[in-house]
This record gives sequence, C-alpha cells and structure tokens, in this order.
Amino acid sequence: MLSKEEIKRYCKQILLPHVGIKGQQKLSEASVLVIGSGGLGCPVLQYLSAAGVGSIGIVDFDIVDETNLQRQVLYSNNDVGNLKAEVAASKISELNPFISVIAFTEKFNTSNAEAILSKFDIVVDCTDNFESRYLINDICVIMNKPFVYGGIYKFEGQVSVFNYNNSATYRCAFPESETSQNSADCNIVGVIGTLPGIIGTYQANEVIKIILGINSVCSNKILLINTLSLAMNEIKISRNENNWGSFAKSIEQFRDKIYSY
Amino acid sequence: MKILFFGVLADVCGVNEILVEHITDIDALKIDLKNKYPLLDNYNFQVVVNSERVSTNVSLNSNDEVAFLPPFAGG
Repeated sequence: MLSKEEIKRYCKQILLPHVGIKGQQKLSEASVLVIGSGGLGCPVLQYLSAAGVGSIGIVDFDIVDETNLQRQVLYSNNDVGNLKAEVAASKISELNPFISVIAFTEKFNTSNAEAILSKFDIVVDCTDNFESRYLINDICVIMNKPFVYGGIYKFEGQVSVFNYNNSATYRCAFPESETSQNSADCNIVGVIGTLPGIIGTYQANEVIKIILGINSVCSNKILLINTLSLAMNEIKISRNENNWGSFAKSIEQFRDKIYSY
Repeated sequence: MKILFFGVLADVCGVNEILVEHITDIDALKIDLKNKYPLLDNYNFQVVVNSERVSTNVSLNSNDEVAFLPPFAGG
C-alpha cells in the first residue's frame, strides 16, 4: 500500500489515467537492474528513482573520473575517485527515500550475472561495449527478462526493448559478424552530454511503460534518433533464432562462455 | 533509390545519404557501394529496406529506401 506521503509525492503522475494509484503501486512493486551507470545510466537512474520504482539495482565497477562529469550528471566534483555504483546509489536514495537501492561494484560477468539478475524483473543495458551487450542479451533470454537497450555514437542514438513478450532480441537485430564491430565508445569518438541524456531518458520511459503495462512498448523495432539533423527513424525487426550465432542456450553454456568482441 | 548511412558508416562514406540508379538487388547494391567506399568492407552493418531489416538478398525498386545500420557500442 502506498503511504499518504507517497501519494502526494507522485500525484502529478498519478493524475494520468495511464498511471493512477494502481500504476503507482506497480511502480513501487517493480524491480529494475541498471547495468552501467555512465552517460546512459545516470538519466535512467534519476528518472526511475524519481518515478518511484521500488527496487533499483546498479551495476558498475568503474570509478568517477573528471572526464565523466560533462555527461554523467549524477556525479559532482567531490565524487571523483569514488565508485560510480556507490555514489549513484547514494544520490538516488537521497532523491527518493521511499525506494530501495542496491549497488553492485563489480563487472557484470558470466559468474555473477545469474545471481544479480534473479532479484530483478527488468534490465536496462547502459553499457558501452559489445561484449557486455551480447552477455546481457544471453542471460536475459535465458532467464526470460525484458531488457531495454540504448546505444550511442557521436550524435546518433538507438533505443529498443528486447526480449519483451517473446519479441526480437539484440542478436536478432545485430547478429555477430566476423568483420569489425566498431566498438568505438564515447571516450574515443567524443560525445556531448545531451545525447546520452536523451537516449537514457527514452530508456527510462520504456521501462516505465513496461511496468505500467502500456502497450506501445518499443519492441520489435529500433528507434534511431539523430540529434544533429533531428531525424527520427524506426526500423522493424523480428525475432529470428537463426540469427543468434553463438548464443548461450542454457545457463550452463552461459557460465562457460567467453564473451569477447 | 535513396541510400542512408547511419553511425560510423556515415563517417566512413563521408555522407549521410546518396542516390543510386540501376541497382536491382541488395547484393548488387553492396558491390556497388563497396566499390565506391572500399572501407565499408571493414564494418559490420545490417541492411534495412523501407524501414524493415532484411537478412537475405531481396530485389530492389527505384523508389525503395535502403539504410545501412551498424550497432552502437557507446553508452
């Protein structure tokens, strides 16, 4: 049951017929794991905690660096040198004391993924490399959890909800390839903070739609956003297990698999 | 027919979109584009015809729009 304080706190979103008291209850009962608390992860964490998602997990092994501060808006000067997951957990707990937050200050890998994921219903992929993205895909498919993907390159972003009600997966959209996966991340090609801010906000928005059961979730398609030209495109994709390549078919295979791209 | 390049492919080709003529299927288009932009061969991308991802060689009409989409690692 929501307390009086909570009903007041969330009243502006409870006003929406898509939310209401029932929807707010669903949000407070939901559990979401955010993997990566960098450029994408920061806005995801801020909006999900502010909206009252009851249980939030944060996975990040990295520490706050001063070059993160132009885009990773949860962190301040004083946080440089501290663990991102711990700083982020403390910031969002301060933002909203009605939710519970757990920080995992380790790299998400084949040894810990199953145990961490078992505590959560929905995953948000805010990582910055292909190795993690294929790994997250595989464990989410094996454990039957939807995951909200966001990826950025310079002034372009991609958003999709994978493995939602048997929808297309990351491997359906982007099968492995023998040619270069172009793993250039923001640290190499450059980025303005607003792009991960926008894409992360879209990811948080999709998470909220999934929790509320709104049936316009961005599944079986990839949303492409260009912040220079302001073009938006949608690409239709479909679930096709023939594209899954080296997918780990079982938890046993997953534990033994080496992810390197 | 209009060809769109997303992400790093726009950098590699130096353009976001081009027009091509007299191309009848995806395989022929790939050969044509790799001749024009040899560096394309080094990249992994998906082919999208009229906003739908295709994984096989399909025939193309002059009014089709074909997009080349790489995955984005960044976050």
